[in-house]
Amino acid sequence: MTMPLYLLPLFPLIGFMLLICFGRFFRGAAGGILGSVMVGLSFIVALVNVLNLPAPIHEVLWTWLPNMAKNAAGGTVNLPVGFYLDRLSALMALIITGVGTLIHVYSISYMHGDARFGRFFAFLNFFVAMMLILVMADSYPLMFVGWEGVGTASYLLIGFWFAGHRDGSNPEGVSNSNAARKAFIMNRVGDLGFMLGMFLIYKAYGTLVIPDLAAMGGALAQAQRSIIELICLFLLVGAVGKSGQLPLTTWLPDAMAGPTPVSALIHAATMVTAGVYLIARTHFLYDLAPVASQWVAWVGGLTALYGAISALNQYDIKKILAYSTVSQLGYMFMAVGLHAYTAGVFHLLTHAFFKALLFLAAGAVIHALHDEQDVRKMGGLRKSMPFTHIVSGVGVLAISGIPIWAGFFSKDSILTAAYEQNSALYLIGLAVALLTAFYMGRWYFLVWRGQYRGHAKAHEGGAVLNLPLGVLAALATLGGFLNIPSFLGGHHALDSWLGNVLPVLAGELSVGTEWGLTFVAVLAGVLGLGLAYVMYTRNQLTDAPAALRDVSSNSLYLDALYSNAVSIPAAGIAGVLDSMDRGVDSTIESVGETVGSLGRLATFWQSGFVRSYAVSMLLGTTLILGYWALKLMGGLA
Amino acid sequence: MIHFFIFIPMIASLLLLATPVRWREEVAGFAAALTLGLGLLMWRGGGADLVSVPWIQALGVTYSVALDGVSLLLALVTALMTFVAIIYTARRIPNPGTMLSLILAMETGLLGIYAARDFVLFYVFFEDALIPALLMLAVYGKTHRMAALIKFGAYTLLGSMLMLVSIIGVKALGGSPTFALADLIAHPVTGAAQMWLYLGFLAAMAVKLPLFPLHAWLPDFHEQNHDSGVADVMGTLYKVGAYGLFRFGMTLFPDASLELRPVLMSLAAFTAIYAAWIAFRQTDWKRLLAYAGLSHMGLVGLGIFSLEPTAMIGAIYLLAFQNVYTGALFLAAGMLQERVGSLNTKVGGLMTQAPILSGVTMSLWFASIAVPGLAGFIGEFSILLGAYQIYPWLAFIAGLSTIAAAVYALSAYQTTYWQARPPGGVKVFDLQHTEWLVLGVPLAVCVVFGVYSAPALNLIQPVVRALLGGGQ
Repeated sequence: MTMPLYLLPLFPLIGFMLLICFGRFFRGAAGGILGSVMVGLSFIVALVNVLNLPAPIHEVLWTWLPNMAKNAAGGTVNLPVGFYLDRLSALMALIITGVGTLIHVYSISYMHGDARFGRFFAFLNFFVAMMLILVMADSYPLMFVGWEGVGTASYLLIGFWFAGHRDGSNPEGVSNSNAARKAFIMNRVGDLGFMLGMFLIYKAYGTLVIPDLAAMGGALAQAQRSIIELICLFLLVGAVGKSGQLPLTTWLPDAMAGPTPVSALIHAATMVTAGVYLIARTHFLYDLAPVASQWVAWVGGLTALYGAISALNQYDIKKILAYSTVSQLGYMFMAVGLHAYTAGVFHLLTHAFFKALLFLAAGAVIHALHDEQDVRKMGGLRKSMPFTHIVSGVGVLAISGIPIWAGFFSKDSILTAAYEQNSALYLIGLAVALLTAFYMGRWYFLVWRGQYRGHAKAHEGGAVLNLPLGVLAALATLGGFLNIPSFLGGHHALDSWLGNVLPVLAGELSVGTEWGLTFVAVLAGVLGLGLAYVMYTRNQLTDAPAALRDVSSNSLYLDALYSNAVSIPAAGIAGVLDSMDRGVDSTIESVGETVGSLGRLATFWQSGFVRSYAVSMLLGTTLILGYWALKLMGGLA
Repeated sequence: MIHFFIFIPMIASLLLLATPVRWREEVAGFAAALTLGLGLLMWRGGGADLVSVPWIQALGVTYSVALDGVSLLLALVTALMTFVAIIYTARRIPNPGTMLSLILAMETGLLGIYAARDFVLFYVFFEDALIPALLMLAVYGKTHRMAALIKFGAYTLLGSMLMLVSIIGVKALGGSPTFALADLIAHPVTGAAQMWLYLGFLAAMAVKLPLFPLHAWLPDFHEQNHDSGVADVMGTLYKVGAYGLFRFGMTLFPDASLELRPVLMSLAAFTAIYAAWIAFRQTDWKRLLAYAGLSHMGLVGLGIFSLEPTAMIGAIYLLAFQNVYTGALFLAAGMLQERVGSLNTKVGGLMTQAPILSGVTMSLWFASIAVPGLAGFIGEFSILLGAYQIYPWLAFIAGLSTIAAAVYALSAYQTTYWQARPPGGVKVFDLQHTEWLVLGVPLAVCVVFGVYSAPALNLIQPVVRALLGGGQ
């Protein structure tokens, strides 16, 4: 038995429509229950379809865009709206609806008493619908609908407290709104890349339907190599924007301004992994584009490092997790860039479990401490919140790559792939594993151990809050067993299940080497956690040495760079253009203004040793990489 | 039926002068609804075939009208938005007789522009629409309206004169017996003369597209028009330059269009990004909308000038539906002004007290910045995709305007609607009575045609195919 695919996004869309149009009829928790039920129904549909998926299902609904597809005879026809469910999109759909349902349920308790309770669930439902469209789309433009749709939902939800938490505090409202806007705009930068990628795909192959393109197989290689590389680089720009990778990463930590369930669902488990999904979905082109794939891997590796360094010295309980997400997404990019698609998707799956778990646990803490987010004012919570403490511990073990928890298996498969192909990336990955274990250890000890340093009366959150935590903790513990590698006596179950959709890397390493790699990786995790423990006992955990502290807590000054090098000059130029357009009266005045704002760019480099040093390093690396890639690709036509 | 469709508004406009004050709203509303109804009936009947009768025989002027797919779609949108504008006028403007009369008079001009299949008739309707537009600004405008009026009038009339010269030239040099479009196409002008005639026609159309650097009248025009935004809706509908180029430019001057393609596409792409960039700096909602509209028109121009089928389809799609959301956004700005007494983008906090108005406005803005799933996206995406096939770099430059659009729209939206209401500000009321209709109908159209585009595509595609010579 299979059920129509359109039901998947339809249920949450109905929920969205009902809650938006008739919100006043849903009193109390009714809106939350409706929202959760709708996503739950989608989960059931997804499950039924996944259990009966001998071959991919392709469902074509109605025509939509002019001239962007081909019929069987090769003539140009209008592009239809259609859904496509194969094992890759089915896995994604399961993650989205499964984790989505849990987070909806959690939100019923978390958002209780909010003035816009119903609207919150409307937006969450909208997000789930768009995310399902994204993963099930049979064509790139339809994927783009979901792609920008989730961006819109993310905008609405980051800015959910647009006027401050209880509509009271304007400064907080302004900063929330700014975060929302920043996320949307930076995503748009990536989206332009995605669009250009689509335009070039159309130019090269005359269709934008994904299964048709995938079915072309060897014929894809008939296009010029440089064109394929360029398509993949364009798509990478899109993926980078959505997944918060370098250089479009700064919106993701800011996105923590949204309510915590939003951070868990959108900015950890699902939306931000869309970039990984896009690349895995387009593997047939990336397989033909070695240079672009190298780029993907390096973007991932550097972002993993960037996120890990930035996470070292954050004080906000959610920001630590946010930078950790950036870093873990970097791992996934590294994997798909190395053509280890199944490893990347596997890590996507386990990360969805343990990161959602960690965020929801953080949410429970914030909830218990009356909106306190500063880890310096926490501590010792294991006594007052024993259950949340345990599940958080599970999350920390999972993300640190300690066996038997889920992160161990997935991180190990990525590191193995890196070891086989690129030793520099392997070393970066290993260093990140160490750093990850350290900053998550820091997170754990600062929040849960020691003495309580705040004033609130902490308490456990209640059953509705705890149930999703428990389920996610179980998944974070057991999820890794889906894909046990052969040297541990397993059969790569998930890899082979995905194998009929994605190419699987053949393992060439000897069993001894694999054991060695696993040992080193686990050692990194244990060392990191151990280091955190040692520093905790010496009371040195809160702050790193001054130089590192500044670099880390300002996340390598990337924000300052963008503000001074892009935003302020752009606004200045807008001013000049405006006065020119109005007439010459005030032009001269505003020329002065622009010169001033460009001057800010220059002073930026002299404003302090450490920051310009960090930025120069970053820019330098980018430039060298860019030069190297262009050289490899030769002149692009 | 087509004649009634075109002239009912004009007749009603004259009738209004003799109607008792208390019935004027009803009569105007009825006439606009009737026009829209007739349009929908014609849509069901598949448009209207060519009707051609001699008008001024001595000069070879004919009365030739037809509504094929593209014309019908644009005429329907015009009828719809006029109807919406009339409903809002009746609610918002006290003693609105003059305004209603002007709106209806203008509607006839606009519908005539789309229906005309005679070059002189096109010119007549083109000028016919201008007079009510000028009067609206003169009668209902704000303090600096005279400057705006002179700018608007000067640009348009200068363009029109050049157009008239080239209209006469097309017939004289081509040797056609009449000004009917079919005859003119059958007797084409070739060589250098075609280029010069095209440039003359282009001048008028570029003013009305509008295209950089002939756009300077537009921001002042919108800023100085009545606060309600009604006149701005009509002004938006009056941006018929792209249609004129599509209907007459591409058919009568094919060689010149092809030759000027790189220049014109560059100008259009530049217009798109230039206007979007300036919009970021605006603090007046109507001026901001003017630049946003200009940016969209740059994209429309990019599609029309490209002569690429997908891009041209997208251009007509965008042209039609930007009327809907840009028009509705002008009316939403009018509602904003009615509530807080200002069009400044820094006056904030509407969302907490008027969530529905703010939410609908936001959705319309999403349509405007081409969030997929809403009508703006289909047009923009098709244009950029098509333009990329011709000149990738120009598509990239114009594509930058999608980023800039997010910047200007969300920045201004945030300061006006989000963030806390300043203490002591007046209490803001939410959507009332017919305001639901005024914003709800356009939003519904944007959603429906963003998701299910087939009805509109079926109207546009055959015409574009025929224009570009069958082959795709």
